[in-house]
Amino acid sequence: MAITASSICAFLAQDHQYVIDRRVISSYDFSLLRRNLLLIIKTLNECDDATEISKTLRWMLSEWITTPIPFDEDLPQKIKIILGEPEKVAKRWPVLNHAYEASLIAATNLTQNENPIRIEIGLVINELIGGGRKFRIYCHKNARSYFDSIIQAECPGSITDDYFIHKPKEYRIIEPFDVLIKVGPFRSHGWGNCPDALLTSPRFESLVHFIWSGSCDEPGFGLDPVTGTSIIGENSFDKSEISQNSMKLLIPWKITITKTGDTLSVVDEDELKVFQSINRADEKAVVLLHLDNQYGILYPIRKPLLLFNPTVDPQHDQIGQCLLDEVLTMGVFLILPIVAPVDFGELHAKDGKFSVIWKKKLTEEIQKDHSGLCGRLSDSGINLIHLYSRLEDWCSPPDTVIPAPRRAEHFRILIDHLDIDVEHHVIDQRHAWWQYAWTEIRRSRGVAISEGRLVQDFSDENSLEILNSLKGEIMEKSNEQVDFYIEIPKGKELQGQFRFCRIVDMEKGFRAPDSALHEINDLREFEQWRD
Amino acid sequence: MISMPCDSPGAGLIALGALRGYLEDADANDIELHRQRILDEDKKALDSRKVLLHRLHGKDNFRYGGKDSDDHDVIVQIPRAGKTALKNPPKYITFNFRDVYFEGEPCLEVNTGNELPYGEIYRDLIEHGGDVMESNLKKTFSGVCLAGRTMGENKTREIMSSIRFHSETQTSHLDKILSVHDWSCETISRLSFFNSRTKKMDRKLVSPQLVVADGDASFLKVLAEKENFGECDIIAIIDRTLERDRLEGIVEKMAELTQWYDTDNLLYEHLPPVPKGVSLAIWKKK
Repeated sequence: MAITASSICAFLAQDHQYVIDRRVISSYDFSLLRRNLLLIIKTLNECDDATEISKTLRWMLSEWITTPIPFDEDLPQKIKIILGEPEKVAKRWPVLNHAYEASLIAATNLTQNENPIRIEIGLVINELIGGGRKFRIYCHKNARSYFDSIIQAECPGSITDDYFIHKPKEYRIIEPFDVLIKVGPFRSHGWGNCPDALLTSPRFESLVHFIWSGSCDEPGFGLDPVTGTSIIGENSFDKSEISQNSMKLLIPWKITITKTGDTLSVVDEDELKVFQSINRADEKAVVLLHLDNQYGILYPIRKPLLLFNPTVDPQHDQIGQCLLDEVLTMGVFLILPIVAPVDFGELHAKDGKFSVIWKKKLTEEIQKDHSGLCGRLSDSGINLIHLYSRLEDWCSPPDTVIPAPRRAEHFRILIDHLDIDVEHHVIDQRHAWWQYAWTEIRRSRGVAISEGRLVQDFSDENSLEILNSLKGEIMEKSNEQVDFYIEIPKGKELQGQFRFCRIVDMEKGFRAPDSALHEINDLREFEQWRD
Repeated sequence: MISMPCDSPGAGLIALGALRGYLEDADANDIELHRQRILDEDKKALDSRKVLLHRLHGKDNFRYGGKDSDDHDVIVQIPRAGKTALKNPPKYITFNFRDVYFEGEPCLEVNTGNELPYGEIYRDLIEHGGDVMESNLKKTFSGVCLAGRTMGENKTREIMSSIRFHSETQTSHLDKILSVHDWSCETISRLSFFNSRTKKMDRKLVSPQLVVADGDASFLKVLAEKENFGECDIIAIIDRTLERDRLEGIVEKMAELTQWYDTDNLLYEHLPPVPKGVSLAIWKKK
């Protein structure tokens, strides 16, 4: 049962001393690694042919700053997978040679010891469990495994879902507890983001806050919409101070700062702030719609979407173009109009006509030499961090989508290395084999191409009229399925199908180029666009 | 503007407070407005006049028929919805304005025995409060309006129904006590309702004196509805555990309004301290 407003008000009415126990951690090697990677990211961001590498590095570094990753032997390898072998980097970007070598040395040095943030978190959790205190950890669900491993090491067998809060809506309904643990600065969007309500409407007395030196809270965090004031002051950026507003306004926070780790000769930069300043003009703020626990799709924040809302009275507008904020998104269906591409015949997303062939071949290659294939693909330009496990994912049979590389170029490289007998499987001579297979993949991702036109953008009366005439069938299917297709009846101006995908969640704080939008993909693929 | 530390039925409670306050006011009823509204029907073409119901004539439909030869206002019977003609010649009835009401809207006034049954709860609501006028429990009043959540009327009602009131002999839920026309089987209503989702009022009258907006999106809709709410006071109840974008939406709107409004610190200082965790800002026209 959801918590009542009365119990929250009763909790706040008690005379608590609200405390932020801030632990600022410094590490000489991590500082070196951060500085050099930042230099590489900034430089590559300016090179048109390397922005994706820059983006991937940025994603990785952002994760390291905002989550308690283990400093294991994979650390240098993760950098190498993205950038390639040092000799190649030296040849391609001579200016980065020194920074790259320094990064690899620092990363190697870091593997000698455990991440100090993990050690500190372990000590705090141990103390809290020992003292019988109720604690929660606010983190993104992808960071959960890092915390699990800490808890497992400190108190084996004691991990439960109850320890974690991953989303604002989970926080809203949580019972008051004693201590909240958070890693990374207070930010309203992007990496390490958390709700302003952590500070404006605490459900706990103490917040143990771990941040790396140099990381700063977002000015204006802890916003009260009514007074327009915030807990984190506008001018307290460098010191991460609590603003005076908190004293005269809502919740009087007291902050204590403990610095641990190496003494640094230079002040670390706030990478997350730097990243915001180097956002590319071709990227826009987008929202990630979760279609289930594994797949999602990106849309521009203010773009009206074609939606079907089964919770609305059928007499009212169940189908229409709406802004997401204006509707209850849980249980609402996203409608993707899919027009059958004339050039590619009758393909159905889940048929997997081509995918059966290349997936079989990929499975065989993996069984033969997984690491070797990984290396060859990496050398050919598929620079994905988790390529080894991605290859296994791509072998999986079609589900909501056909698991495959996100980029066409990566898919082409993959097919090139699989040595498929394309002569045997070819349909006609107009396109390369991989292009047929790629179209099949894109269709499964809800991408509709009809004579070069992106059909998602159409909003004409015709489509709404057709959809409204099919309301009965749509309603019936929506009661039983979360992802389904409805055929457009023959004789209509539009030909093809409407795909309906139920929206289970919505996440803001992403920036992405147009090429990354409107495609259903594995949720992990979208991490690189997190702001 | 009030910010709450969680989702709450705060808007309903504030609307209830206002409803309770107007129960002490002998003039807090719609009678004069209602009379004028029916007379205004005379300015419309016959077939565009709204359907009227008479509380003593069951399911028959009427419309305003102007004056008869004795200069009395009359209503004339019309076919019911779905029918094209009457079986018998139409009835012409001279009427009391208090006995007719517009289709789909609450009754204007009821007899003893049919009044709102929550008198005791209203009385006990405020310690040492003023007297609840019994006559007001029999008359509809539209001076206070609750602007529901944009998620829809059902969601608004659901959260209101989570609070229950007890008096010595009565128990009832907030959604009932509010006497919103569509939520209650009672025939009069002391609170009008604006559906923020469909942007429709549950009755057609002049703008209310006070509108209580339930949530940020509802508040923004109310601000945009200048025809309905351009002249009234607004109380907005906002849950500050919402996502940042929505919080910023409110801050930006208020920044925009500063060209016409100022914060009213004087009134703020005269109010009792707000409970911990609740914040309050008051704005007044420059």
